[in-house]
Amino acid sequence: MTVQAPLEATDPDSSAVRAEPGSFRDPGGRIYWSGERVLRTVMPSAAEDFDYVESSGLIPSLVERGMLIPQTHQSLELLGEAANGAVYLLEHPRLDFISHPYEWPFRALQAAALLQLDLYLEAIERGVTLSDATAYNIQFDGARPLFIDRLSFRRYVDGQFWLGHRQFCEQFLNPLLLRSMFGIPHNAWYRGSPEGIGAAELSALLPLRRKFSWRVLTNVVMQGSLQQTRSSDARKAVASKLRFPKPAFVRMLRGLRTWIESLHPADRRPSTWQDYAGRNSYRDTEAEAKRKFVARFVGEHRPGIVWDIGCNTGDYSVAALQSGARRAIGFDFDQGALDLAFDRARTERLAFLPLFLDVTNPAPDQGWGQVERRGLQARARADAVLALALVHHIAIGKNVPLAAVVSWLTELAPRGVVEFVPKSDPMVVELLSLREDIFPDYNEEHFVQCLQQRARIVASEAVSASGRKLFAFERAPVI
Amino acid sequence: MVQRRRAVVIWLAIQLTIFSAAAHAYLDPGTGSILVQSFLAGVAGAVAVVSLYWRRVKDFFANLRKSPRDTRDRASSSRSDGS
Repeated sequence: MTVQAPLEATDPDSSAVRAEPGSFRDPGGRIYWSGERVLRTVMPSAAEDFDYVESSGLIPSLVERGMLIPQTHQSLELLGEAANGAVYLLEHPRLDFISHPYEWPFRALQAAALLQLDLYLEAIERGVTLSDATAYNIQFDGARPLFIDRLSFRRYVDGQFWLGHRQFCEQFLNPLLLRSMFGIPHNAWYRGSPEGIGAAELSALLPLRRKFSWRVLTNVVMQGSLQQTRSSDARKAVASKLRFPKPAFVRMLRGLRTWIESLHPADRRPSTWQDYAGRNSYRDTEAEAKRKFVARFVGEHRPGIVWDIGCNTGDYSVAALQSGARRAIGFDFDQGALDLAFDRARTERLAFLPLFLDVTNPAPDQGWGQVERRGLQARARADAVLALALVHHIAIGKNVPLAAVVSWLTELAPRGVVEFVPKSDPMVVELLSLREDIFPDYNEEHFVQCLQQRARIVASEAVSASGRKLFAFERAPVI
Repeated sequence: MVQRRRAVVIWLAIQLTIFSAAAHAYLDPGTGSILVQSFLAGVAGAVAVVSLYWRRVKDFFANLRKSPRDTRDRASSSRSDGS
């Protein structure tokens, strides 16, 4: 058997049709790119179910309420030879950013899980079910989860099993339980295991007393132990003789919904950065000066998508949005701050999505062919980057050479705002308090040199008495 | 022991649910998940059966407790009906 190598993105401006390498699992159809346009084929094997779902009235109702990505029918001619026997072609709006569940904070994964269950509950009332329950089918518009896979919706026949149950548990329930039972964030484990956390693995961690809850017993313990069943007779019997009545299905979905909605992170104390603004050397005037600088920068350059690296609870993302940015994607490594940021985005209905990121170890290209789930760099489409109070943590906290830090930041977006925090600042003093100062090059002069090698400095301003300084830069156009 | 318990669960699952439903899908639902769902379907079935008969069970015990007076009542009412 030969395996076709995934098609690589060539020239993004060209209108040549190329298959999206992450879309191959469901033979019912797949995603294609035509230039910047996102197209979805429906193959003959899925056509009957597709028609049935269209006639159920479910789709417009979900789209109208922002739960499902909109779709328009297009001519198959758009695909040319790539159409390959498809019966329908749909076009979806292109999303500003694709995030992966291992980058989501707890609250985002929880919101996505609830959307997945709500979709099932609504669908089943109209005689529709979903063929899977993968978290990768959900993306975020601000803090609002959005389902993006139209082809997951299939005809429901009473008695059918919930085929996505195992996937739902592995990709939503178990990662959420990890944090709510043990206080362990799901991100690292999930990233190393992109299909999620197995029931048997989670079950092995549970203390005995935890196993007696009915929900844990059925969804985690029993599922985990029965998964090991190797009996082919049992498998055959299951495949041919059994049915799962609709009321039991609905009860199961509702039970999971109530359970997941009630989950909270089991963190014993506030995380390092959760009360950052209250505790540290920030003064109100300093924060205000920074906000004004960011607002002026955004107002002047009008970036559509802003990436806020080290976003904390999102103050500067909010400033960017208020000054005209269309969307802000925030990144931070502190779970407590991320949870607060996500709650803030949700309550204030902001176009702001905070995500987990360790700057020194961003999500890599992984999955099948190492192109199925793209790394952070490959998804970078920011118009501007903000990096406030960040550089010293990487350069001093993680020993990354200053030039490399500046190089990485300036490659993320054509322009941005970056803050330099000098050694005299109390935060840097703290960073160096227990270790030798092996950073003779860490000073403003060298920082400016590094920045000027890659970009033009268009504005700068001192924002604190300790010598913190903001720089607005514009990358030299590539010749 | 574990094997035996599993066998019992599988047997129960098969006994408690009867006919098949078409399901063609690209996703492997996993043996564990299917067996858990069969078990839940069985539990739901059992709950339905119990609730169906619960009334009768309650009535049976209620009758047991009230039976002497009920007999008298019934006797007197049949007498009055007959008059």
